[in-house]
Amino acid sequence: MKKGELAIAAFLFLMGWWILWQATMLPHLSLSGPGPEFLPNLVGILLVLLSAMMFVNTWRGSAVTPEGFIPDRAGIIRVSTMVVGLFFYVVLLETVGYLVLTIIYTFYTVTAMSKFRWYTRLALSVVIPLIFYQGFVGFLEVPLPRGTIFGA
Amino acid sequence: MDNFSNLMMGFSVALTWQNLAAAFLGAFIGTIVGAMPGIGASAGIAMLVPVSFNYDATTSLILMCAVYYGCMYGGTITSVLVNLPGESASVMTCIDGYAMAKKGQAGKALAVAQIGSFIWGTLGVLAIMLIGPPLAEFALSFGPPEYFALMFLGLTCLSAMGEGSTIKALIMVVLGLFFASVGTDPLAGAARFTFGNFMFLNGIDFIPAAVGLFALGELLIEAETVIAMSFGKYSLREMILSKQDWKDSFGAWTRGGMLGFLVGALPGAGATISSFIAYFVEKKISKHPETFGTGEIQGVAAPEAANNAATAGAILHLLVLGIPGSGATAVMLGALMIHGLRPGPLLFTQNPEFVWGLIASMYIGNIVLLILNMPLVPVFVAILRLPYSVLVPIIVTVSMIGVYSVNNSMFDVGAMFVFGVLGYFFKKFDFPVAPMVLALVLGEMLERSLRQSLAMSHNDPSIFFTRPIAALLMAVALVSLLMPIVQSGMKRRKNEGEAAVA
Repeated sequence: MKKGELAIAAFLFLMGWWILWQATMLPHLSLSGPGPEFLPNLVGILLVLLSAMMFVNTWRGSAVTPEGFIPDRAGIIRVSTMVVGLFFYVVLLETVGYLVLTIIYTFYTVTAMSKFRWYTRLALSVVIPLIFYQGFVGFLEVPLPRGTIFGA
Repeated sequence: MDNFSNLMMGFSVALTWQNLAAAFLGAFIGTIVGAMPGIGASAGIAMLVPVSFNYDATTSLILMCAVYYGCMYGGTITSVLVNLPGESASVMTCIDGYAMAKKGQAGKALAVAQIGSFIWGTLGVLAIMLIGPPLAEFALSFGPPEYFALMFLGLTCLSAMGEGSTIKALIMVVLGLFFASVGTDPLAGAARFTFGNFMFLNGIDFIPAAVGLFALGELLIEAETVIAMSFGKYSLREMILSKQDWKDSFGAWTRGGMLGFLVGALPGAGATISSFIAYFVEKKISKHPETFGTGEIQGVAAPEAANNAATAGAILHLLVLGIPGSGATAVMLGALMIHGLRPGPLLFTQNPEFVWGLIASMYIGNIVLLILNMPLVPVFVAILRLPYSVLVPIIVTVSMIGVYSVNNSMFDVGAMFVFGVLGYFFKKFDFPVAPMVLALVLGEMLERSLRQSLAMSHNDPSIFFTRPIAALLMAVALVSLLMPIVQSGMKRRKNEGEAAVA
């Protein structure tokens, strides 16, 4: 955890300098008082200072990694599975459409994270999205992506 | 119009079927959300905000406040029955609540918690009613320097008084301000950090950030170690308290509730800190402090009264001063602004039907929660038994629908995903996310107040220290910032001294 925190502090330190650099390219458009570059400059300076303080504090602190910080193999697989599933859900949502993609996503998630039999997984995958579809689109008239392939 | 007449007007607004339904629905959903470990009030409200756009501002805020209150009630259920706090404000309830459950007194613990929550939820609303209007009058004298100082106080208090490292919390505030600066500058209209991409011109909305950080980030953390909850036994008959139980709880409710309201009204303090303080004060003044942790009824009564009273304090702060003091009220502020309402002192005079309708609905909401929670515990337990693999697609679906429906924008959905992954890493490395969300919500207002103040003073920052109210607020903010550093230095010196003696 200590190495991770030092890396984060270093990244934030560089990010602060990057923000300050970007701020120099902003136009000063105000006749009186600070302009649009004011907040980015303030943010950049504070980020540089705070990340430096975090770096020093972490360096001087304990190197013991708290229990449970690094998940076990099963935990890493579960988290990775979720992130991959979420990524493709977001990327494909507009193309495939809410209803079909959510059925596929639910089946994927329930399969990856449970030991239900295939027909239970299939039933859950269809029922849950349909309930939400009816509730939000049918009842509340919330528009959802219809998709260009299936139009649903 | 006096307060009583205003309240009657408020009831005429709150007792429409639409607003009553919003109160019931919000209370029910809030209880379930609050009971689910990890998914707290902030995430629950953030997910419902886009749904609320189908209704007017009054109904929307009634729904969100009912969810907020409901979460405080719901967090108690898993705290007592499973020793797993559903909400951070219910952590202290776990200690004696679960111990009572192990002694076969789960029903009693739930009843004490819920009655205390009801009493102080109601008294808290009464306090809003009595203190709100005069405080709003006072706040009319605020100008840009006072507003900046108040927002600065809110951000520093949330950073200094929250859990974990103050430096990490301040970093999150600064990152939130950075994200808030993306898009178009609020005064001059210059594009900032858009990299020539038109999608960034509108900036980063707080809803995708809030839902991503609070809801998705927490789902990813929970995925590491999926816990199967096994519930302790309880019976509805046990929920009927004896005379001795009432006598034992009364003092704790009173002290916890008063502390909770006062602490909750401080910007940044919130229900979690209120419940911590109430528990430790109760233990300190008890004649038998050694019994705390073994199933002491006061150990449940005090923090539960405190967390509901704190909720009322936070809502008072939001409505009257327009400054949220917690993640949940930050999300509510964002929602109000999208509805075209600006919380603050003028809200009481310009939109009295909204304010008093909300206050009246909070009275109704507390009654609804007391009626719902006592007999419906078995229903909530049944819902909580849903496997994690089923909860994940439900929460992801609701989150996606909510975020997409704000602007019909896939950019927002993508932002939600990015903030979700960031939220996971923030939580892993103990960076608190509430300060970032608060800074994102307040960013534009903060920048506007700051730049207007400096324009008024011709770039002289002493304006924040020469106007009395602003100076007082800045002083309190700086003290709250420096206190953790001073305390940490004193602790280190004490440890070094003890090590040298040893």
